[in-house]
Amino acid sequence: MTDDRSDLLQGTLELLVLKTLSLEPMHGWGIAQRIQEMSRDVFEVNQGSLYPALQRMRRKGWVRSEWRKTENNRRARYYELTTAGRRELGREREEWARASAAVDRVLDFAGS
Amino acid sequence: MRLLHEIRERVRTLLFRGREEREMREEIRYHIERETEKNVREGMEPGEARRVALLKFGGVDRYQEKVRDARGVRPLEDLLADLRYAARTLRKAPGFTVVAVGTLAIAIGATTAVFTLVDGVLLRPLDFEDPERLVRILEFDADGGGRGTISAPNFRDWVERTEVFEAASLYDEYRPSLEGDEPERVHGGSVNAPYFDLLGVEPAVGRFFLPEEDEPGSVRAVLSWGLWQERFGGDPGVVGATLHLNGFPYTVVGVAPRGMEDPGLQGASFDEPRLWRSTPAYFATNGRGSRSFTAVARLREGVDLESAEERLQAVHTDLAAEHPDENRGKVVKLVPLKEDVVGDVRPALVALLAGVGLILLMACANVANLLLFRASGRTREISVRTALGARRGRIVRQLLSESLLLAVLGGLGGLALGWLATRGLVVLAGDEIPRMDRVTMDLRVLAFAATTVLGVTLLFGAAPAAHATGVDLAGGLASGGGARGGTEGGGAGRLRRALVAAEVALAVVVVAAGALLARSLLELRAVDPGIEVERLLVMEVDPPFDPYFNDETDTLGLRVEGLYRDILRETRALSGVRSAGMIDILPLSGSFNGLPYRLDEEPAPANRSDAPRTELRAVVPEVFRALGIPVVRGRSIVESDRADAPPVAVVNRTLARRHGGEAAIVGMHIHLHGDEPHRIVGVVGDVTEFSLDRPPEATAYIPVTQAPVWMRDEQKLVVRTAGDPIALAGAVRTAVRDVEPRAPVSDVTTMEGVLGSTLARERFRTLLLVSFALVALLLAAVGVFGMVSYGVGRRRRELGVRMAMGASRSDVSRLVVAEGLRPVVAGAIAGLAGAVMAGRAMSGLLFGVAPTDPVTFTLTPVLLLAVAAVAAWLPARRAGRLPVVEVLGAE
Repeated sequence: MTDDRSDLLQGTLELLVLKTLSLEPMHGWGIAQRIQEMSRDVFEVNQGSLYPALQRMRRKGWVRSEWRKTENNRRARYYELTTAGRRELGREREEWARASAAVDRVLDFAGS
Repeated sequence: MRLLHEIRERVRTLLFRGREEREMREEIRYHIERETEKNVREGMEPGEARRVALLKFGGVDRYQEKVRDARGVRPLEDLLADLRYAARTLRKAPGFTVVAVGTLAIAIGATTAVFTLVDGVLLRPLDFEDPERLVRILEFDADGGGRGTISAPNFRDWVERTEVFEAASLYDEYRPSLEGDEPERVHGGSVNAPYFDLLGVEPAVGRFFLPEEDEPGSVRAVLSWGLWQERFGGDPGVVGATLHLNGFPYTVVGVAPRGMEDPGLQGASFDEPRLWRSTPAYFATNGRGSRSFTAVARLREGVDLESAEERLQAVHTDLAAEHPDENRGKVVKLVPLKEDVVGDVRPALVALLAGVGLILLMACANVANLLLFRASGRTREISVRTALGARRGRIVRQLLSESLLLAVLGGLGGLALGWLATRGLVVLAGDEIPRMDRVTMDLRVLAFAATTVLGVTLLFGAAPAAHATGVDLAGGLASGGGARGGTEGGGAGRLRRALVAAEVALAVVVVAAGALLARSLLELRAVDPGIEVERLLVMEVDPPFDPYFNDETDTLGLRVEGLYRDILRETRALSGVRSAGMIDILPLSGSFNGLPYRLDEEPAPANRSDAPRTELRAVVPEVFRALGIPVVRGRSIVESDRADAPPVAVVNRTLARRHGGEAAIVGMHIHLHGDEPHRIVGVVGDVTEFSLDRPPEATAYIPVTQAPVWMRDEQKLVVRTAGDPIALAGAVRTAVRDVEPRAPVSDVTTMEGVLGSTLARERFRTLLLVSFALVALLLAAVGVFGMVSYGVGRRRRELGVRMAMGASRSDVSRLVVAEGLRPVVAGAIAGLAGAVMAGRAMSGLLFGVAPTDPVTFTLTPVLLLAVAAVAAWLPARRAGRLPVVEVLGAE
């Protein structure tokens, strides 16, 4: 019951969150909306999985959280990338690039 | 780095759990609000908008679970939750909880106490440097006989000719009179110079003996810590001081460290020495055939025991050839020192440990049974939870946490009980078991107890947990947790019944053994020692060598005679003193001399070795009156029986019976020592001389003034008091000191105390066994209770049917009790057989009771049946009370 998503998907979600937060700090709902926008609605985040992912990332030290007042004077928890998080983002982007390049090469090879 | 961060986060989460939960809920709330608003903006109705938002979020509860999982402290939180729930469950069933925790506490307590004992006595290494290399040197006859003691010249040859020892020392008991303001007799040891160094201890002050100082005539002493504190107030200036022992001056060179374990004489039960002396001359005066000493040695590094022993024996064989008279047919042995000290008690302690181990296992089985009984009543609850989605692992974990809680509570109670029991054991067994003075509960014991608790949890928790996971879901729900009908058959039931039978059998054996010992003890106490034991103060008086025994012209010992009379006169003058006298060896002291004798009026026996023997005592009047020994014929020994008067003697009834009876023997003449016979002037009552379980010996009493010199130098002052004897002890000591300040007074005690110490061993054994018996009885009762309860629980339906068919309540109860008692009877029969064997094995320890005493062997099984019947009746009664409708119908 704890992991309906495969590891790959979980990793992807975390990467997307890192990317989102690299632009500016944001609360949970905002992150969900932004990911939806950025991926042109391809990734409709199962919102229930977002917060566990945020907890995991907080535990690993990639993000930190803080309660702030929103525009309409409500309280929300904002998440922010840490230095470690930024480093991780860079690493994961490299990984992703390498993996996708490999996939591309295979596809090209098979195709020719 | 990341790991550290993770740990910090987890701890933080754990600590601020409440706040975290609140924040999580608030975060969700915000999210749902925003999503709802968005939906409303997109045109939905508020109610619809909220519902869609919730749907999209995907199940708030499940989300919360997932967040909690992600937080990473789930297992710990679950454990705490389980424990809290378990505590609630246990609180709701106080009877069960008390019985289960009590059973565990008693079993764990007993196990912990015995382990403390075993650890302190057997496992703990000797408190010396590198103790494995320390050995005792012993000598026996080739066939194994002999006491093991050795002689000084042999010792020297062994040490010099083999090269297996790094250092070695002889040891002899030394009991000098220590002079001073308060002269006293002290226990001590005579050793060689290397003694302390070979043990590897450091002096508290000063130093130890040096081999260079071993010249003839040098006399040096080392004090024990205790003696140093008591008599010298812990003053470091004691080094270099002079001590007068038996009149000779000794120089104090140092003080032994606090709490030193002196290996002393062979084996154990030796008074701790208060000082040691090194006098090379002393050992040198003893010949090769005079085997009065023991020896302690340290093996050289790298030399193992077996080869050292071989080497030693080879040398000893040479010595037998060189000195055939003294050494022929002897073998020499090396024993590790620790083995020598504790070897005797090892089998008993190991047996004790096995015994409590058995009790612990049975306690676990009992508690498992009780838990199963409870679990069977919760089958429905478990089925429901499983249907609702609880994972099997979760349920098992929750049941195990109940067991863990029980075990922990039982463990805590057990530690407390164990601590008490250990203290009790130390007090009771102090003289019987070596090394008891340092037995305490330490970390090792705590670790052992913790391991026991965990092991116990698994042992008895596994059963109900396994049972629970094997639960038939549909069956559980449909039948409402009821039984599948019929008596509980199959493997599990047989096992349970066999277990109860085994517990009953064990209880029968232990109870019977305990009863035999208890009766034996009572019989012993009832033995008439032949004296009046109450209100009797005794103490030892030792006149100093100079001036009482060093004057050769004083052949009749008039000086010491005068001393004794003066002491008695002063003592009798004290208020509260009824009568007083002296005797050289007290009754019940366990000492004996056993001299051959003959009567003038009877023919002498053909061989010297066939001569009859008698105990001989030197007395000063009015000791018979003081001790309460009746004079049955003739007269007692009186003041006028002085050194220069005709020699007289008084004999006891046992001796008189040998030679024609009381009337006949008065007037006969008895040769006891020397040439001149003593005229028998009276007969007195018998007295148990050694111990209560042996019949009185033939005894002859002579005035100390007419006794040989070696019987005059030590007398026990016996004072019959009007009130509490100890209250007068100070006054009597002062009276003695006033007469002769240089005479040490020691071993001040009461006759009751002497009697008590002769019974100490029996008392300890009996108490131990009776405690065991009570525990075994309790276990058996709980076992029967559990078994019958479980059976009743399983058979509710069947019993309900019977009652609906017309059986009365008492019928049902009787049925349950009868079936419950079947394994009890089987166990009792097996137990009786075991008890007979145990009785035979114990017959050496019994007094006045036959090993197969019919009364004991009848009452014990009856007692067990009665206890079992009560234990079975309690749940059976409840069975009879079951409302039929509830059992048969819907639950």
